[in-house]
Amino acid sequence: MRPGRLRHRVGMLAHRLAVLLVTGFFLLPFYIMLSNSLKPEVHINAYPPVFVFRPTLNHFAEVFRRYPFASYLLNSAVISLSATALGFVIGIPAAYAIARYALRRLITLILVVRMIPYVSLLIPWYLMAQKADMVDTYAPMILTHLLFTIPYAAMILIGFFEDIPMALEEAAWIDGCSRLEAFVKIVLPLTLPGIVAAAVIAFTYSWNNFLFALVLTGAKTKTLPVAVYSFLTADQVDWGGLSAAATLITAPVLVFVCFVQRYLIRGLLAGAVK
Amino acid sequence: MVKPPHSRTESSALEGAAGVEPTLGQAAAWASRLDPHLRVLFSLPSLLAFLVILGFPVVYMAYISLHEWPISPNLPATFLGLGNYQTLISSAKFWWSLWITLYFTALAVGGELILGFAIALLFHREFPGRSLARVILIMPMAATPVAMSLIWNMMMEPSIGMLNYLLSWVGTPRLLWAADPGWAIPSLALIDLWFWTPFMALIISAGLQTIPDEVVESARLDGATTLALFRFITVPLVRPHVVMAVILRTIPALKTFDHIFVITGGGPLRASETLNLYTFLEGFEFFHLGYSSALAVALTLIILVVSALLARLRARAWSY
Repeated sequence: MRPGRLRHRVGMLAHRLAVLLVTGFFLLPFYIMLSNSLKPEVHINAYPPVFVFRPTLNHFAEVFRRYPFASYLLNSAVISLSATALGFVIGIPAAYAIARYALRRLITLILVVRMIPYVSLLIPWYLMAQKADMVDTYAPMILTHLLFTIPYAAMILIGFFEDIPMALEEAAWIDGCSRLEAFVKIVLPLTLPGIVAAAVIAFTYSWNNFLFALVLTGAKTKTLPVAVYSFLTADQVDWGGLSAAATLITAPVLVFVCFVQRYLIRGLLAGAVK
Repeated sequence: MVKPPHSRTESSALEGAAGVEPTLGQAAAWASRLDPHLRVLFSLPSLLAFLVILGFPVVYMAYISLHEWPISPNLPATFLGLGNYQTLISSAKFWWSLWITLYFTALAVGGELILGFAIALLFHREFPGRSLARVILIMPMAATPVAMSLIWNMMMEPSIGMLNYLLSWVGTPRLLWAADPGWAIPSLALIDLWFWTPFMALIISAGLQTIPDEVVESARLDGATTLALFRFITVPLVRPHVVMAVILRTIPALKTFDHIFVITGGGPLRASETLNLYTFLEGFEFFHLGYSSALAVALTLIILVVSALLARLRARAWSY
């Protein structure tokens, strides 16, 4: 029995070690980001890297002092919240219609929308915004972000609506509700957790989106991803400031996503439904 | 829609639970008049939205691609017919960027599949802190890609970056990472691995959970080795999930933009200029709007064709 036990112990140890290695790999960039954002300037360019230091919040203060970071934050929030809200007002009914009436062509259309490379829409969108004199305004940004907030709302929620038994709605009809009333009064409240989770995922995508912002925003409407990118193109790369800015951008979505992590997988898989 | 008969008790129980009162006011009458049209009413807003935000721009893009298009809105465009497409077909840069796109996709998706499968197997076994580790795996997928790319850029810095420091532990020589033309695509694929391997792992993990314990147990009793178990039970049973995971990653990988743009901008020496990057740079760096639109049309067609082929592959994998 002894050699078998030993083999078991070694196997377990190897397993734990592998798990540690894997999680270490995925944590490493987050560790670098956080530690560089808190490192005093003198240690940032040190080699070999300094692991023990007295943390400072200077870089965070600098980011707000040197750049209009608060207004970037506001721009990102306005665009992402509007794109999510509008996308869901349009996407929720679409998801319900697909779930209840099996609209195969609408699903296919939504899948195609998800597939289109956004790079190819940049020129027409830029020219359209230019013609309408709306470059550097919120409207084109919010509208282009509907390209993913509507599909996210629809793809994730189809499943949630399908899970609600038809009998519930039928009971409401018998009691005199119209279909529309039954949808608003019964189906929507029951799917609320799903809607919230889907909204968090769609918001995260919009918050993270870089490509449209790169072309359609200007000084007035610059969003966080474009702002943090400009740290790199500045004459001298300020690693501390860059890490602090990256931390500020990433923190809110990471916190959100930890709350809805269960649904995130479902959201990412949403493209997979038949 | 069929209305199955309900027992009175069931429907009144539901009524109590959901708090529905039969209302017969004006609004209700109006709402019930909308009922027969609900299907159209609910799908119309999304159709209209797609027409405006996608349909029109796509047609406009195709139209621009037939022209030499000026940057200034006051200048006239010159009609070229299929001229831009002729340039594209005969351009070595186009074929190069197509090759780079495929190289990057193959490396990234292949690596993610192997590592993702391994991680799924690791996580299939119970261990303390597993749910925390799972949250850690999800974090890269949600973190802002541009921000994390900048952090990776910092880590890949040749003289003081963390990656070369870690390599020095094992005694390997320093690398230039993405700054070396030969290493640019592997370096970018490594970053892609960080972003998306967890996605692959989670899907394959879901597949592993569908394997019934009895199957594994009876194979063990029959004396199957761990390797044979993996080869003849695990792999065939999770195959549909693997195929799906590969498909779901391939399309986005073909379209990768953020970390390539941030870290190499397509360089050095075009070493990482994927079709996506080439299209962007032609449009917004050199302002060849017409030619860039032709590239955009080509890119869109390639993606749609690949998607259709992959969809067929999936239909076959899930058919039994």
